[in-house]
Amino acid sequence: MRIGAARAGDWGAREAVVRRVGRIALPLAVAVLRDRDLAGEVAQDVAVDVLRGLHSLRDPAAFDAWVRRIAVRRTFRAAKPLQLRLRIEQPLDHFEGTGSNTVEHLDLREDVVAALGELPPRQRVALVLRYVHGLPEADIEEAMDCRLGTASSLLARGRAALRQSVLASQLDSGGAPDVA
Amino acid sequence: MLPDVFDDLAALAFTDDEVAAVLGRARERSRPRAARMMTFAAAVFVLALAVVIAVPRGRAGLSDAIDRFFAGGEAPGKAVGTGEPGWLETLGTDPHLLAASGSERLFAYRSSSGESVCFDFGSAAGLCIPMGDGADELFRGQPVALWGPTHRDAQGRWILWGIARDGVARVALRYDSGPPTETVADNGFILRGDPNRNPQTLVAFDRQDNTLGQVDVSRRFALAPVGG
Repeated sequence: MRIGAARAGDWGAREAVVRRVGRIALPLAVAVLRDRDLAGEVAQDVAVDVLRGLHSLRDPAAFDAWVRRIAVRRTFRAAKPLQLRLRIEQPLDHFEGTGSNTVEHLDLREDVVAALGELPPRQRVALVLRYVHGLPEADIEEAMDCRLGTASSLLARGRAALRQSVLASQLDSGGAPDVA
Repeated sequence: MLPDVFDDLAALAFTDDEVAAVLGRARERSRPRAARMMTFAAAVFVLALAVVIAVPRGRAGLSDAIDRFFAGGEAPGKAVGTGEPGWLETLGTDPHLLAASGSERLFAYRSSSGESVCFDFGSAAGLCIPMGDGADELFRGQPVALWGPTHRDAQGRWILWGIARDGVARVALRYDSGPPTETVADNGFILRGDPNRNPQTLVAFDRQDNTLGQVDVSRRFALAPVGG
């Protein structure tokens, strides 16, 4: 990616930067916020931050890691009022409904949607960073700005909970479990 | 396998409308011709590092607020509230307002990695310097580091940015004719240059009005973006 050209105002390069930010930020935001529209807004905010702060990025090779940190921070910040509102108004599984702005609208598997929704946001982010972004634990800790060993713990707990939920869901529906 | 369930998330991407919206917002947040100005400002800054105020190193002060900032201390200037400005919250920490002039703001902050000190010159330009490089990378032993001019204000005046050592109390932009444009400097300053005269030198003064040094700015103003 032509970071230098984007810094200098090349609009083709800036568009490439924005699309790259989308690939990084959207999965995180959707996994945590579970609302494609809201996640899109958060990811757009991340992209604007990135364009705005390109001058502060000294090492273009660190672009992805830098964007991930911004995306994680923005996503958690957006999740706070959402979690509070949900706690007051309705249970989280409200978002598993069929509204046009739900994750289900993205054709994610229902059982996974439900299982993901039951995980704490930090576990969701850790799982997305591991399985969508393909990061090792050290990079997950860097993106989430957490202590050494935290990623391992978050991933282990997230995987266990996800397996349990998906398994239970499939058993309830009579389907064959396909989780490792 | 468990990882397979994330395939749908991995396929997510911005729609063309979303990409257009981001680029539109970024354009709004930048000033007209911001991109060209950033390029220009970057080039000018390189010159600025090589240029300038001819003062003995000792008078510039070797340990002041900027040095402490580079050494891990608090940023100089006035601390700003959490979330102000909003964009800084995700890019850095400990934002401080170094100077203000009208709607123009000069911020100092620490990068979110904690490894660099950064200065933001309005919404069009800025720079970050690794802490390990020290303040001398910015000042090169001089009392003032300049950036710009980056653009014109509504009255057509050139906006010139500066970071100053503790000893600098005020600066004056002198032209080929007429009175200078002056402003106070408290580790930072923003000057609005007269568009109808040719700036020649920027002079830095201490609190006793002693001249600390001066820099030839004629070239940087001659190279300023036309009609910016």
